[in-house]
Amino acid sequence: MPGPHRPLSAEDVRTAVVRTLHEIAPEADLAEVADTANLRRELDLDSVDVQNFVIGLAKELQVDIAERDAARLATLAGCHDYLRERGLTVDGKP
Amino acid sequence: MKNFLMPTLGADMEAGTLVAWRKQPGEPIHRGETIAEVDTDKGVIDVEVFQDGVVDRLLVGPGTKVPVGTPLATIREHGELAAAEPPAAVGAAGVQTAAAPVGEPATAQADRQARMRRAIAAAMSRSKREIPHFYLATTVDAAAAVTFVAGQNDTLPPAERLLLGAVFVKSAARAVQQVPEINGCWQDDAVELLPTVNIGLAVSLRGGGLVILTLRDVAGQSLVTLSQQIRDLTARARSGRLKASELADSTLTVTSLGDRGVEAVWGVIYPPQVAIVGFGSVTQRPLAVDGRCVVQQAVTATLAADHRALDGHRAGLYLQAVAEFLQQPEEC
Repeated sequence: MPGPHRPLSAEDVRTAVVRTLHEIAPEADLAEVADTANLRRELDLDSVDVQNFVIGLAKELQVDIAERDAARLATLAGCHDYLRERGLTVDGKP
Repeated sequence: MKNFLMPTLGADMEAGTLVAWRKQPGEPIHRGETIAEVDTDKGVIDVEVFQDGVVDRLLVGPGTKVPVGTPLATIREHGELAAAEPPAAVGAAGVQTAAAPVGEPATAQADRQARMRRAIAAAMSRSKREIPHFYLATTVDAAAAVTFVAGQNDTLPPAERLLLGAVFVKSAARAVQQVPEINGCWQDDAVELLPTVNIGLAVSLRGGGLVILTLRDVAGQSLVTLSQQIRDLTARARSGRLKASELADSTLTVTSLGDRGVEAVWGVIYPPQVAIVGFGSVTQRPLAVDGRCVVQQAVTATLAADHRALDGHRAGLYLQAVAEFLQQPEEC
């Protein structure tokens, strides 16, 4: 899978996460979701939703996300930390 | 000339409202193409045709609510002459005209929720009133299935990854070959065996309610394809659009409440089916393996069956076969 064209900012990550989650839970007000809130619990996602989230995010950001890393995407902050560790984001907290 | 009818999407559907035509008279149409959008208790669905031909006449106009089985249009075969009669008046006698849903205002959504609730209530009450359910359960070692799925997913790209639920569904379908009457329908005081195993997967909707999604000919599909279908259909059931064929013709239902963290689920049979298979959550449990007690991943598989159609012995053999397939996921 090709890598992203440029380093992602915290805002890019949040936008991609929100856009992907909106496809899965269109009724949720994602602006209200805290960076540290557990997305799965907050949005009542099941394992099918979680896989769709990983697929959607990988596509949106053009990165490969290993299944075993899915647990690290539990919160918005977790998504950002994970992508930063992979060298895909510029520094800074979301 | 063939009539195109208001489809039935299960025992709990009595009527549907035509929302829009996607084809007009004179247009060619192919098997599998959508001809109309229909509003049901399960939301707006795309209805496909099952033969090639040319749309001849539209018999019902948008906004019209008609009972299941009512002719909506006529379709002629290629080369067949068009019908001589003029097109029927829209909103013909005997049909009730309702406002077509535009967008989906909050009240329409609340109304749909209420209708879905009533449809579920009717189907489940009928099931418990008419079907003498009996229940069986077995605890199955799930270590092999969990390890197999994780191992495969380590190397597969995201869009091809496996769901443990696909292994459950496939085990339930494969086991039918050993007890074929599980895949039957109860009609006229007898069980009619159905040739293909179409698993109905119970999927909860966001905000309440549920739908039974149809996974066709499950025994003949790979776990990759099944997982993709489950993800696609679940996503569209929860926040998109389904096709009529994706809600019709299931022959045996599987319900899996695993994610909710419960140990076991005892299902209510979806008439006219004769059984429903349940899977609880996969958890670490003490199991006796080779004479020793070990802590291992396990899942409780249950079966609710119709005692008119089959007996405990055969139902037990079926559930045992499900357990065996579940423990050999690579064979599945």
